[in-house]
Amino acid sequence: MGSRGLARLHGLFAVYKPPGLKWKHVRDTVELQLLKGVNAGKAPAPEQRVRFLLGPVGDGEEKALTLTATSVPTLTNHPLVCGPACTSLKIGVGHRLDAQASGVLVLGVGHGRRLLTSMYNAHLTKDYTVRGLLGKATDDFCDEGRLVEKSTYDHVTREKLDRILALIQGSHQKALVMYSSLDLQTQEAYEMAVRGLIRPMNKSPMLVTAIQCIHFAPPEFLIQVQCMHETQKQLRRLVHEIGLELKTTAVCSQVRRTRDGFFTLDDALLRTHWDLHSIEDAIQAAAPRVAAELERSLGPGLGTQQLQDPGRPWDSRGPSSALGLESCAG
Amino acid sequence: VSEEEAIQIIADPPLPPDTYTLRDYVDHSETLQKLVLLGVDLSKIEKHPDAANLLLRLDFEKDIKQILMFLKDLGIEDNQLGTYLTKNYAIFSEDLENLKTRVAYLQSKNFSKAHIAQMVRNAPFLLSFSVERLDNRLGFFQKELELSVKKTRDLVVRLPRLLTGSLEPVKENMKVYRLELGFKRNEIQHMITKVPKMLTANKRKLTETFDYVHNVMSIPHHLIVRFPQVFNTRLFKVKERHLFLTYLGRA
Repeated sequence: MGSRGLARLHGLFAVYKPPGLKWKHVRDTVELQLLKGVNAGKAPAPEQRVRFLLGPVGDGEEKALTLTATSVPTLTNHPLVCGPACTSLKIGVGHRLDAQASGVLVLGVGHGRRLLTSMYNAHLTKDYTVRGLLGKATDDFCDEGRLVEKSTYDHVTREKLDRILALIQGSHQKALVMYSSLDLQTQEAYEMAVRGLIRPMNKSPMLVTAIQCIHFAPPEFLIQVQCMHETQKQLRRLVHEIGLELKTTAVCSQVRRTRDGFFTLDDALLRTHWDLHSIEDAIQAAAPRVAAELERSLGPGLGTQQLQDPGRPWDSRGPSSALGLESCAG
Repeated sequence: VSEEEAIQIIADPPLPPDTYTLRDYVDHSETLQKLVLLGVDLSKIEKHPDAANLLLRLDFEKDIKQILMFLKDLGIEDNQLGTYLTKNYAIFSEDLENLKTRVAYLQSKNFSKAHIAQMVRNAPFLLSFSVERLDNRLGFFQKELELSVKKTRDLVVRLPRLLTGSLEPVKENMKVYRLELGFKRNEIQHMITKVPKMLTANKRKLTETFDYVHNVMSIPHHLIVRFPQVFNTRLFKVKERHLFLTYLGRA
């Protein structure tokens, strides 16, 4: 039972990380739940061992002792003597999320950990919804830090915010082209740029591919960011800089990852679903998409594959309506 | 050497002189086999090397049987003996007379037989404490909580862990409730009789939960006294439900 459960447990799946938990705790909790599921099977039937026992054969005055081979039940491999069959599982984590951020966290089990490195090398973009609060500035850019200054924000309007965001997107566009080390004079590069497929395939600082404001109700505003090679701290610093550009101050109250490559919020498992069956189903559901996406991203040079791209995940989508349960009533 | 004598030489591989597991000895020791059939988890006991040595040297007929019959007399069922012995394997090194004195002491304090069985089941180390220690503990709880004798008895029956655990966390928690959270004495008594686990809760989690419930959800003290279960649940559950209710607009 245990080995059957383990055999199917290889692949990638996504989990919803709630805010306030470190990503390591999430990984350990998932591992514990999986171990419980794997060790919960029935105990196997008691084994038999062949033992040579002395037995009297022949009656009367002549008693001869012979060795007879008998199979005797043995307790050497009884689960109460050895302990549970499985004591640890190898689970790896994809792009990390820090303690206060929440959202999609990709985990890989067993052989799926190899796919994690391929995912990292595919350099796919991620989607975040970032909620900001105007009028305050703190030392670590989030609203639970030490207050540094306060300011008024009456002069801020939606148009100003949109203008600033367009400026940011434009400057990052230039950086995208620079870091992707493509010669823009060639025809293929021009076609890729037209379709918005340019992105750096090696290490680069944080780059924003698309940014737009979904909701603006001063002092709160909600922006959706598509970026790559970022950390959540840099996103919060981005909010701070937006505030500075608007000649006021801003802090970030919530960072939420809505998409990581091809894992969206719908694929992420909630805390109630962190058990063997749901994770196995999730792995099986995600497996074909993972294979297709990695083949597409990591096989450049194959012309036919590049021409067909239905619904690339980094096309600028409309504002996502998933405001989520963690937002206060907007 | 004649043929008959040759057959009588048993040439099994020798038992390893020392190992980390009890697996190697299980087949050769009747004691261990009977314990496994009872349901004792040897993989947990072998983590304590002294315990494992003790179990190997004991003889089932002489020592273990008497203690098992004694536990059965107390009221522990056959299928519960396994879990009990896994936790408190040290009971085999106790003297039968001492165990009988302790049970007699508990009975003299007007604990019924069923209560004693329940307490021993929930707190396996209870019988390993001497009479003096049990007396001190019961006295401490009676003085500290200032409850009547009957209520103290009910409390101890419900949570016998209070008697076996250390007293420092309980004292700390009492101070926290009184000074930091600001509950009055009769309020604390009411909450403890309803939910005794509050006394052994983690101080940091307690303060975090109370902070969220009182300041963010703005629930006054007297409502918390009515439902002390909030201190028992995890903080994230309370948070999730509260945020859900605010999202619906019904906080």
